[in-house]
Amino acid sequence: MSKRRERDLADQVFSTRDFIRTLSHREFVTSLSLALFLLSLCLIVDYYDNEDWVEANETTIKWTLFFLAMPSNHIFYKQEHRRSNNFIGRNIHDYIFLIFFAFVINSKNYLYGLGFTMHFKGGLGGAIAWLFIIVLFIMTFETVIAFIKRGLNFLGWRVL
Amino acid sequence: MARALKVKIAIGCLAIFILVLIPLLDTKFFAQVTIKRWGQLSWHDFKGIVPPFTSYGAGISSKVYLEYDSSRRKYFAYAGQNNIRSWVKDTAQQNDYGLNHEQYHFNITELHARMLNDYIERNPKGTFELFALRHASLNIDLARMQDQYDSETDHCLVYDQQRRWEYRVDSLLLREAGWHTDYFSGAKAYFPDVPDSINGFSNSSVYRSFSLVKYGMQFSMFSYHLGDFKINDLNASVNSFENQNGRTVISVNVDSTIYDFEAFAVSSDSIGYNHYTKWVYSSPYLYKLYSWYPNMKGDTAGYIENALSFINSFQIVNTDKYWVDKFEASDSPIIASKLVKMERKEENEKSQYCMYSGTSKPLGFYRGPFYREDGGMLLAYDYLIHADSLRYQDVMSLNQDWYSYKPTSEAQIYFVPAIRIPKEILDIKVGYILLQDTTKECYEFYHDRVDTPPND
Repeated sequence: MSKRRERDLADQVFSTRDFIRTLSHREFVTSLSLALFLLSLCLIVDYYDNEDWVEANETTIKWTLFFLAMPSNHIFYKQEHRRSNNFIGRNIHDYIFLIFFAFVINSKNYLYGLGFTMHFKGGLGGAIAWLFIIVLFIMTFETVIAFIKRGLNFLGWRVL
Repeated sequence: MARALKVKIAIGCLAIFILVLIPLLDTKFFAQVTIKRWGQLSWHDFKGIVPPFTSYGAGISSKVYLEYDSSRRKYFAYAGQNNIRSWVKDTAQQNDYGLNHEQYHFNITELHARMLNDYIERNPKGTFELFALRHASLNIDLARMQDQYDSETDHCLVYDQQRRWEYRVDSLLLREAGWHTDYFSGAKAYFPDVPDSINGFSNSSVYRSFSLVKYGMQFSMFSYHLGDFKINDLNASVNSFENQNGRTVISVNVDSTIYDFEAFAVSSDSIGYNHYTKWVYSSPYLYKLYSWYPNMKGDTAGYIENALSFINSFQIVNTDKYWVDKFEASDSPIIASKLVKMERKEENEKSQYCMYSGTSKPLGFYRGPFYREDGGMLLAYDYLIHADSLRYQDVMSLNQDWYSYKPTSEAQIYFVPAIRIPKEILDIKVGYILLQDTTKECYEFYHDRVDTPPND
């Protein structure tokens, strides 16, 4: 009984089955619209970067917006699926969001005449290192989100 | 359609609207851009759309451009201002002070363009990649300096710091060209802009000066030819001078370790200005470095730094070589003759002039006499009373020898070869004969009796 419960818990947290089974255009539309929105907010920040307050806090503002946009994916997921995404599902959704964000940044640069660039210092080794860092970063971030989710559940605000 | 999907589509549309709108505002809906090369700006150069909700009156977009000159076959950098990305509010357009703030942003950009050009000059065989790398690193420095400028001046709201930055940027742009030397007295000081040169008489003493009024301040350097000068109580004299000029003395410091004496006085007047005056005496010249600044608008630290930068740049240099070189480069004839005291002019003697010597008085400012390496004696005299067009001959009388020179608009350089210098110099008179006197039977010798050089 106890072993089965443990397996169920591991299944709940690390199984991709539920996420893959229900994966549809909705997740992609969520990530795309949030990536566009994040980019537009960053552009507003850039537009006002001569204002003292913005100039002094530009990096902080942009990272804050980024860390608000990522969990927003999970809020939409919960709204649309009427259940929370599991840990591994949230990780995959974050990758989708990051891919869209990189895509819209490059598309914007391309449309503004700045060209399309994607390069890593150190070639293939650098790319693998970056991938490893990103995976680690997403996992850490989602662990923090899991704790926040527990805290919000405790307060009765089940948005994630 | 599901509610969440509608929200997501609305967010996406809003984002796309913003992504399109901001570049349109930034480029004034793709209006024709003019890149203005570095120079004086006017509000007409600010044609961009004012960013909504901005708290500032104006903004400038300037950057360093790196281009290739195919005719000279070399890269070059220049500072350019984008008129469409520069903007000004209607309410700010009456304000030249604000324009001045933006001008100095442009000046800072020009400073970095010159730094890049210096780098290109130092690396004549450099590739585009090398210059582009330096360009990129200079852009980081440029952005940092622009931020520091805005931060320290609070976007021109802190007056004294605004003036400090103007002084600093002008100095960096002028570099060595900011040094001004009075080649007569040897006074040398740094002016961040081209000063006016004024020479004249003040209370019977002759002076030469450089003066600049800028940054809401004045910077002046005076030289007086006093000869041997003794002062009993320097402190009291400085106090008395300040009081005579309606100023209250705040402090006076006197010193005589470097020069014969120097005194530094800080005073204030009743109309809201502080005055810094430094007196330096190094025989035979007295020097005055003078600066004033307003003390009625908040902090004055920036003004004080400007005043002290100027005053502390003062030095006395030996300019003898300048005059020797100048003399050697000229080919003006010198006619030497003898003076003989006579009661009247001989009727048949055509080579004689009748001349009488009036009283000796200062006619201008001079340096010397001093000796060249070969023993020749030089004296440079700048006449201030009569212009060269009114003078018939410039003359030096050395004991009984008489040397005539063609008048010149510049300073007259009198020269006596070593071989003609008497063993003992008793008397040197320098002056001129006026054209108006040449019709008279006897000429008047307007002259100044100058200091005799030490016999060595």
